[in-house]
Amino acid sequence: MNIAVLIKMVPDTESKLEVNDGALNDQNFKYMVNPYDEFAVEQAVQFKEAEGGKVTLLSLFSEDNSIDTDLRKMLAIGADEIVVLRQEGYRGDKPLANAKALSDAIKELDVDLVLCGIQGIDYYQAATGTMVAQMLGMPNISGVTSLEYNSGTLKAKRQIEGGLQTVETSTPAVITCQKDMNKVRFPALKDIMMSKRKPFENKNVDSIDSNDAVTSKSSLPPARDGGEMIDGENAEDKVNKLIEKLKMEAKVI
Amino acid sequence: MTPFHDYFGISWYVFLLIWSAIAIGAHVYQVGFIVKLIRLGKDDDRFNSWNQRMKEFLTDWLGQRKVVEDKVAGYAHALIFWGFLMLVSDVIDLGTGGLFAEFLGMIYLENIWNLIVDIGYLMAGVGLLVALYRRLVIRPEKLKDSSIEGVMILFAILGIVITAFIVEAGYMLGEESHYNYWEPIGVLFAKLMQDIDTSTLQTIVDVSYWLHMILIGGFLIEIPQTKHSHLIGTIPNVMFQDHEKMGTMLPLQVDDDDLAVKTDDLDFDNLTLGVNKFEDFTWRQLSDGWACTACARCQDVCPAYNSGKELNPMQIIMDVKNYGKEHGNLLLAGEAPDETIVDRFSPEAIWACTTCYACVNACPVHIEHVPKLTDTRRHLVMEASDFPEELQNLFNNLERNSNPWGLGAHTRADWAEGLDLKIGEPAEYLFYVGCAGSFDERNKNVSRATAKLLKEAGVDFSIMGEMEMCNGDPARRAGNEFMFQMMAEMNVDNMNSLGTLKVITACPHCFHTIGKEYEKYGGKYEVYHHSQILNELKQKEKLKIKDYGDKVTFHDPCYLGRIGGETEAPREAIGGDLIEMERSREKSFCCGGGGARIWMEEDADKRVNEIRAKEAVNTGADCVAVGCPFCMTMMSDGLKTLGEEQKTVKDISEIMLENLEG
Amino acid sequence: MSNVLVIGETDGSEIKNISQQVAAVAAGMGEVTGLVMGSGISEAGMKLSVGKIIMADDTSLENYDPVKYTSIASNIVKEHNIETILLGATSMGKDLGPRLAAELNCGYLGDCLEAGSEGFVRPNFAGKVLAKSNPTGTIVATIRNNAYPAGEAWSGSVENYSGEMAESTLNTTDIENVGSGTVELTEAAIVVSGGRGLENAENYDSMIRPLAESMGAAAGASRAIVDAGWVPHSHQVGQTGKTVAPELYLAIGISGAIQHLGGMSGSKCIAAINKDPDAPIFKVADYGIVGDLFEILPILKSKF
Repeated sequence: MNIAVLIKMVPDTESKLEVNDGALNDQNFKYMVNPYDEFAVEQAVQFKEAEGGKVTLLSLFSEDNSIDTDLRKMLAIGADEIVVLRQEGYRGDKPLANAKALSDAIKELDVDLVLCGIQGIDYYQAATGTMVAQMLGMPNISGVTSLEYNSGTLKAKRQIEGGLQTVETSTPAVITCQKDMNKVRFPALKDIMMSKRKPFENKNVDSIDSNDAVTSKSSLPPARDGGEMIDGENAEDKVNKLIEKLKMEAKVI
Repeated sequence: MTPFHDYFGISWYVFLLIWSAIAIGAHVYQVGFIVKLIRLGKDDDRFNSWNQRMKEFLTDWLGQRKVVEDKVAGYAHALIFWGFLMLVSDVIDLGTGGLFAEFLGMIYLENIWNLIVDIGYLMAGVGLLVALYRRLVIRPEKLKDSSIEGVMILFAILGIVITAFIVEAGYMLGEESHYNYWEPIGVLFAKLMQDIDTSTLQTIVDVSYWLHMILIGGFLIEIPQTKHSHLIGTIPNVMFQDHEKMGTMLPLQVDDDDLAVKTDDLDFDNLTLGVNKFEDFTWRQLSDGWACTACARCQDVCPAYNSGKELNPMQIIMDVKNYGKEHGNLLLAGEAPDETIVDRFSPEAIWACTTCYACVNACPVHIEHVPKLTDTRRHLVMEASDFPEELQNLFNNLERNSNPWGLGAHTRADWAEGLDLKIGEPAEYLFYVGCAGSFDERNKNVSRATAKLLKEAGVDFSIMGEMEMCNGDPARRAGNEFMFQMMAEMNVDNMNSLGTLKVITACPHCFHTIGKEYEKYGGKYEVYHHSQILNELKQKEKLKIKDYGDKVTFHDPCYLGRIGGETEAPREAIGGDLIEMERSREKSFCCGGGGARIWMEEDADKRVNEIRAKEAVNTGADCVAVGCPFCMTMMSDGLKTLGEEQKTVKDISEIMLENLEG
Repeated sequence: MSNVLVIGETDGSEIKNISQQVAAVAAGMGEVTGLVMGSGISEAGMKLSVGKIIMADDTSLENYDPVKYTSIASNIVKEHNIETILLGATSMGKDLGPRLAAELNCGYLGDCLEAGSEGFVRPNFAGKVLAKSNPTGTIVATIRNNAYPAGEAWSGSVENYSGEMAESTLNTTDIENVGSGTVELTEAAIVVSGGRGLENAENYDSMIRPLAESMGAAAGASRAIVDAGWVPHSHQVGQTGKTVAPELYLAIGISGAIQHLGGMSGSKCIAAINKDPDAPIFKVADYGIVGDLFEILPILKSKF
């Protein structure tokens, strides 16, 4: 079984988030492999170990090659090769354009299965995987928490409201992986060293003029300097104020 | 009368020759086997500094320096040991039918020799009686489960001593008694035996002689098989003891100048990462197995063992020997037994070690327990990728944000806000804050206290700010040597770029790693624990600190006290009414946080920190003073669990700042 | 004003509340058409609060199928010149939305907190950045649950879908109900965690668990109370437990040692309740209440 795994390089979760004049400052970002995509790589390697075949990692990024070291670690987990599509002016928040570039590249590979994380931890659109499926004319199952493969048939469990849906399909298909779908292995040092000898191909691709909705203005949620202690006349009053803040200011409930 | 006559018409020395051939042959064969096994180990060049080694050998081996730290067993052992050194030549005399003494007589040494041998037997006899008394009457806790073997052997050796006196006495008795007062104990025996009739006496002397020779021969055969292998094993062990600074670890690969080979240049194709096979150990690590006397002092001081975990440091050493013995033929044939060293140690034991070095410090014969465990960790992490799940978090966090908790690297200097410190500028001292001091709310307070005191005293210092990284110690003690090395190399680059020469740190793990380990990675600095600098400022009255009013006890951090060699500066810095815990200074008991243990799960009923917190509570102190961020966390948690929250845990710097005058 | 399509969802017998919320948003944006797909949904689908409803009712549509659903929705969009397509940010909406956008070659905005003629606002970086868009062309957007009040249930005119439907290899073989009370700790949007301040295991069970359940949250715990045996290790948040990054982390009676913070510092919003004003948790909390949790929790519970 030949598998393509789509990997997004995302800013580290602890990156400093600054907005200048309505634009997110992405100059100082350090990039890492999107954690959801790591589950996809692990799943692909498990399938390869059981079924044979090849695991190709496909990533789309700018010409900046500071990401290479982190990306290469996915080879240490057991993938066979990496193809990085280098695109001038690449942006992580253009799912339509990015899905187009990725699906064009997948067409050139002969794959039975496309795996990726359900979403990137940068823009949280959860869009690229399913878009790729539509563009390739493949079925997709998203938010999968467990996946089995048995002679041409995939059986996936995906999270739905209040339960789990079991879906089956024949390959080829696109599966987007939910957190904790599996336990991502920690590569042994020998594997890390060996991975340096695996193919790492950079391929220039054209920028795509897409219909993606662009962000007109970014902003940070209202700053709360060092946190806010909620005072009130009594417990009831404090609770009311807290709920008000959580609803209106933080918008988390 | 002598036992040197014909038996059953055959001369005595025929029997003796046969027996000697058997005993010596068996002894040499077995020792040869052990030597071959030990030589399977990797090289470890300790054949240097001979003067120092001779001195150490004389004090530690001959002088029994560390053995006598245990007053009862230690002195009993020393008496037996010195006694046997004095009497050992007697076996030549008895084996040659008295020719040796005759020879000594020709050079006028017979009398003095007789006296020495007699005193030797006496010392050994007294030592043996004390040892038997300890095993049979005192019965210390750790000997409760020990086998009967120990007692049997003591009796056997006592037999050797007593039979020697009887044979000596026999010489003096016979047709005419002539007491040789150069053998006073022999005289004593002779006087006790003088009324026995001649033929019975002859039988007693004959039986004693042959019993003596059988026991000695038997002992020769037994030595290589049991813990008595230490009679031989301690010689290379003491002679080739570790001359590196305590607690330092070996790099993955070293070059001709004994510096670590850079990560980019490591030769992975020919590199064994850690230990999983017998022959992955160095010869010196293997020889430990046969040097161990099973005195259990390591076990007594081990925090893992004492908190009920799988690890017993003595068992680890026994495991090395027993593994070698059991699989010896396969190993020597170059084959791999199914069972590996990791299997034998058990992963639970390997991960239980806090690397506090109490075992190494306690061992009278310089056995190195901790490296055996950290080396197997290296294997488990770098080769097998099989380790406690929590450590994966640790490694990822260190890699991405260079701190164990994975908090944003850009927030590292946030604690210093408003203090107006130099950040990333050259200065006389670099204040290396460390991760806990940078990210943990509780320990940020320690960083602030230290910085304020240094400023108050007018010390010129700078912090690295976002350039600072974890020193790599958590990764290293957890077996990820490669990650440690990458972090060390980056840190050294950063520190050197600031022209750093002197470093102050409030974390003993930074203190140890930067001060003692970085040298091999190109970083040579004078590193001070903050208590050392702050105490110096106090003594020079650059800081006026009044004595602390609360009753306080100081918990020595392992990597500052026992491993770091600094026990007085913190105490002087605190001042005031200091009460010592049961175990303090070099003998301090670990908080449970070292060896990356603080990042691993610990069973609630097997907590090291609770044992230590109890000791602190027992002093009746109101405040537990600490000098390490991990001790801070572990001691606070321990006191909480004991319901002793009203007792405070404070860093030395916090106590000083509270008591700063003016 | 544009033509808006609301894709509604039923749970078999009822139109989902989130679909009514989306319908209410759509009402302010232009001429609204509703689309409900499923099997045996005529009763429930009719309640979608839009003027005109298209019903695609077929046994093969019983369970959500991205291939079939996309083909139906895109046919309707093209047929009715629709420019804005709105869905609830549900497991279906978040899957169908982007697939449809790909088919229509148009923009997609997922999980919007605000939606309207003035634009859309959606969270980036787990809500640590808010991004506003004012799309010009066709757009597909999903809207987060409870971002807006629901519209009233009423029935508009109903038309049955009679167009084509793509073939699909997807086949749902089982739906397993795991109940709403058991949200996975690592995936929960809200985590309610309890610590030693609760005093005993009974209080955890009687105060933390019910509060979590009524908030749709997962229940977490500090190491101290896991050690004490009040709750299983699977609930432990922290360095040696689970790492969580919910939208809201509610820390109750937890002092907030670094080992705990390591497991939850990625949360978007942290609220803490503790009796000790010096507890380190307040250093990282966005909102803090100093007070007696035994007094505060029952009041908090009554609000959900």
